[in-house]
Amino acid sequence: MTYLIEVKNLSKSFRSFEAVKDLSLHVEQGECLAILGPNGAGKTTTFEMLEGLLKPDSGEILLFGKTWDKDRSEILSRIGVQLQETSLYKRFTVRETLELFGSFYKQRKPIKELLELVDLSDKMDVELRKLSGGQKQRVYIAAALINDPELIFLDEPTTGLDPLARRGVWNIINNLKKEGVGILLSTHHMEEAEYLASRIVILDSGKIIAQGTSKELIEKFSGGEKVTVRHGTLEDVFLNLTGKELANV
Amino acid sequence: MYSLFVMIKCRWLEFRREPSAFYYVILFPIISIVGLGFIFNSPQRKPFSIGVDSSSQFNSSLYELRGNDQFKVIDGSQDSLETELKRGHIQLILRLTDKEAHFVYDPQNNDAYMARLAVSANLEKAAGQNPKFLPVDTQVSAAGLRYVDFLIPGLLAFSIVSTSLFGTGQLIVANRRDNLLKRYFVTPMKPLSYMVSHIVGRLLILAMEISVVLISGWLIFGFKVQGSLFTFIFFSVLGAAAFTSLALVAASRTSNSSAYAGIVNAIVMPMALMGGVWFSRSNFPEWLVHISDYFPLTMLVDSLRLIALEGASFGDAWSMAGKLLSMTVIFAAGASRLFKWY
Repeated sequence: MTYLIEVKNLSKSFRSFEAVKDLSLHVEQGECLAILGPNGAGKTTTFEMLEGLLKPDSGEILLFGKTWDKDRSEILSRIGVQLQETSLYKRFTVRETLELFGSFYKQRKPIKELLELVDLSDKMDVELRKLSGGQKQRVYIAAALINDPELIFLDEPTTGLDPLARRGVWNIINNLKKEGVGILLSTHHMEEAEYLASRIVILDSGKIIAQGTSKELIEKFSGGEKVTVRHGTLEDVFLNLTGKELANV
Repeated sequence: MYSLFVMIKCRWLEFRREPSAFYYVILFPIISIVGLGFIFNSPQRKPFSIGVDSSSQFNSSLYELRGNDQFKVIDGSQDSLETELKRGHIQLILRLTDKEAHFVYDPQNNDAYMARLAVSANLEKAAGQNPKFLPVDTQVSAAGLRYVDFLIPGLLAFSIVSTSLFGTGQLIVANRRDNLLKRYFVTPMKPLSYMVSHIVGRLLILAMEISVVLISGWLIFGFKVQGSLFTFIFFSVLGAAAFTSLALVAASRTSNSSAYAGIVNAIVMPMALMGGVWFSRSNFPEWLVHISDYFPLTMLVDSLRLIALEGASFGDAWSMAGKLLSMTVIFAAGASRLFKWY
């Protein structure tokens, strides 16, 4: 079986700092794999290596069974990327922004259809600077979906959003899963991973310290807090494994 | 090709929707032409301001001096006049004794030196000493020989430099800072298309710059390009290409707008001050003229003036075209080696 993402023994260091150590994972079609971890755990370095932005020191990355070195343009045409902290040109309208990103691809989704998917149909001709944070985030996701990708990278897509806007992004991700799009998601929010991810990988100091479904992780690592009042949560798992308060993450 | 077309359209939209771009491309050149053109194009010469030391001996020549509208005479003590001289309110101090006329002035100051010659000639004339030759003046105000004709090609060149370096370069730096270049890098967009879109987008803006400068110069001062308009535009395009390539080099690494502004000011300020944009380089010391010969801005200013004022053809200015083209190639090659997407 060919995975959308298959990573074997990936490592990356910046001088003496080992950002990612011997990491292996895979993502199947229609699956959402969430990567959880405190700041400096190696999430963004892992994402950037998988997105072809950073070269690993060792290990193997296969996207659709292909490598970045040999099949860069084919991989780029089949993936969608939403980077952490990107700012698109604020004086372009939503339509102009999506037209620009669409022009990079041979195959593109109609803008109208895309805006229905991200619930921004009424904002097509509004400049980005006039949109709220949640609406902007949905434009970034729409830009990542313009080529109808088979695999999408979402790096902290709900950071800084209010609960309502976050729910809006969750709905989009759930719809993508239903359409069979593979998703690699990085997040700080436990409930987000729990709600969206088919499987979860917990990273700390560049290493995978646990992985499985949220149910498996809770059963295994929540510290036996299955008392009558409260079941263990993914947050308990995170705290037990990384020893870090969420507020510090 | 479609992608390149959309990116060029985006460059145009970025320019059109950025309020500061309107100022730099349209308003700044017009204000400069109107302001400097009127200041230095006054139909009447200002009179020389002469300070006459009150300790001067009575002399009928002083009456002549006061009655001549070529001079504005201010009386005062030596101390007060020296203060006026330091402040630049007068150009020289005159003190007359029964046999001598004492002049106090700065010989490095051209206006002061001219005032000294004019006062001296006036005193001699008043004393009845007729000159050997009767001077006959021909006053020139024909198009092509006025200060404003000298100024307009210089301003166009300066406008090309500032919109290339501050416009194109700043945009690239902001795109890198906002992770937009990184975002482009994870699409199949061709890096060359991105570069070309900036150069072609720049040429669209150049078309506006040339139109604004030439039309406002023509409407307000009757400015006309004496040579071929096509050659004038060709050299403007070459200049824009050279400076856009230079902007790509300057913006090739940094994502810090303040650092970029520092880099660009270090490049532009010496060129603008020594490149003869506002005043002729012949006023500079010879060694400075030789150094400024190698500035790309000097090459652009000189070639545009050659065409606009002297009616030079492409054949007359081909060596400048070669230099500007070489610079474009060198800067573009440098940018392609140095450019970092993230």
